Amino acid sequence: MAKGNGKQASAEASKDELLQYYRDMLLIRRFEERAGQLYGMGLIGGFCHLYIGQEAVVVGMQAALREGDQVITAYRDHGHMLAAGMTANGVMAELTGRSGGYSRGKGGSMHMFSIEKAFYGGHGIVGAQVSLGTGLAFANKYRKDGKVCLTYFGDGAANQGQVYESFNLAALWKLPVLYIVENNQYAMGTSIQRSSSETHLHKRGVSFNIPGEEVDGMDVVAVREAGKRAVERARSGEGPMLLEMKTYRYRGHSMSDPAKYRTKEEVEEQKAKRDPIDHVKKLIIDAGYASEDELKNIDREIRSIVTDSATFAQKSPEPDPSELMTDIYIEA
Amino acid sequence: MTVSSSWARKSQWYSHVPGLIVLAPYDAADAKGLLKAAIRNPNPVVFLEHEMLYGIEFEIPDVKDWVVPIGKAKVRRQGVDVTITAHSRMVGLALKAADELSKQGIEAEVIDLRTLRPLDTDTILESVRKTNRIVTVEEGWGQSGVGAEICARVTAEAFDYLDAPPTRVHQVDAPLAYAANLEAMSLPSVEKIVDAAKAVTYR
Repeated sequence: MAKGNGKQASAEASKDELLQYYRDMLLIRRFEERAGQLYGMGLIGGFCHLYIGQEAVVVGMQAALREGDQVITAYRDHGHMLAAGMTANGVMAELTGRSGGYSRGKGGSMHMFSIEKAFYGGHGIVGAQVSLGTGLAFANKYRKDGKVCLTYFGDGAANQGQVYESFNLAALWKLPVLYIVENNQYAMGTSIQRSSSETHLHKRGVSFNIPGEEVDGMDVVAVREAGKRAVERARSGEGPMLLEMKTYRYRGHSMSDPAKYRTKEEVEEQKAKRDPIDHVKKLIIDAGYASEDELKNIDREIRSIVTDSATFAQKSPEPDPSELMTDIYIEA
Repeated sequence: MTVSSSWARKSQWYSHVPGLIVLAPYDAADAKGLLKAAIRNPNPVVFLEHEMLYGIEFEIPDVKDWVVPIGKAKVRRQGVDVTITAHSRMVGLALKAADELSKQGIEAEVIDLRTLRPLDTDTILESVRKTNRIVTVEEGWGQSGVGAEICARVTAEAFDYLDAPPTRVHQVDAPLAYAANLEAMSLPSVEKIVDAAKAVTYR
């Protein structure tokens, strides 16, 4: 049931697709770099969890989806939002707590949603989004609307109890949900070897009859291909799958994490050998789909989008004081 | 069980439950002494730490085996005009408010509750019988809160001593927003405590 071969064929993406993936991943990376800067300047409050290094996971999975399919994740979530088509302006302004943000500044990094883009958050409680995503999939099945819900969680959340309560019901009722473990190898500062008795997380669904697959989460095309198979399976009523994305985050768990639990050499090696953006860049250059100069132009465009979002996020006004007592109840 | 961060604002969730002991210290000496008492107590104890107090330095008594008794509030500042109760981070705000009030000729007595369950009603009542006024301060929401409980007890047991309605300062009745301006509006402040104390002293 569990396959466990990391490498899938990587050559089956068109020129347009590869260029789009390159652009989408670069947007996430540059956005996160800028978010880190704004946090350092005190313009973003609370916590800030950056997605740098893991970009291929969300970009590849999003390419496997149909319009209307849902996405839900925890708090390392800016990449998921951008991949789902939410604007850099709206996400950045939410991080700075301004009225131009997706939650009008009232939610911040951990409480941001877009029903229009089918992004359901953005959750601060580790593992809680897994039962919520399973509930979304239950609603899809109940409504027979053909939608699939991607439910992301990390290797730390993989040890939470409600994950397995969700697995049981999702498999029992054959819900159209996909469980995607983003195994970046560290639950905050604890390596997977120190926290998990079974470190091959794609095997965690076996006792629930949920098939699992290990995927190279640094290879956007491999992610997309695994995603397509699993999404199709879920949509056809065969129930959930568990995809383990082997990935790596370059930055600390949050901005306040000095990351002393791993060596600089380890991080540098991952960056040098597995970087998901460098990987796509090489595919593009090797195939002759674009020149270095053309890719640099894309980088310039992306930088300008991100710079604009940072400007917007600082110029957008704070929420009006009258917003203090709104969004508490829905008028019945 | 120790609980930090935003859960410290939900003190009343725990203090609602019979069978639990709920501790919410303000300074380092109480944190150390009460934690020892908690470990030695055979009952389940919820120990509420406030994350925003971690960065503040306090003196710790140089005493062998320093233990603070559970169930005893501490009068942090003596005063005759109004009683102010608070716990955890709010004690700091209450003390600042008392300094401000003193400049305006109002001497507040500040009681650090320290233990939320069992609540030290005797210390509160003794103070109210002297000051005839009470303002409760808490970081959490007002409904069914710590202040609501204190006001009920004071009204029931010291009604004849009161010269003003018992008054609560607490977070506004809305989920805490992320935006800095709304967050500041939501939470208790020195200014809000000063205003409440002046209101009950008719100043």
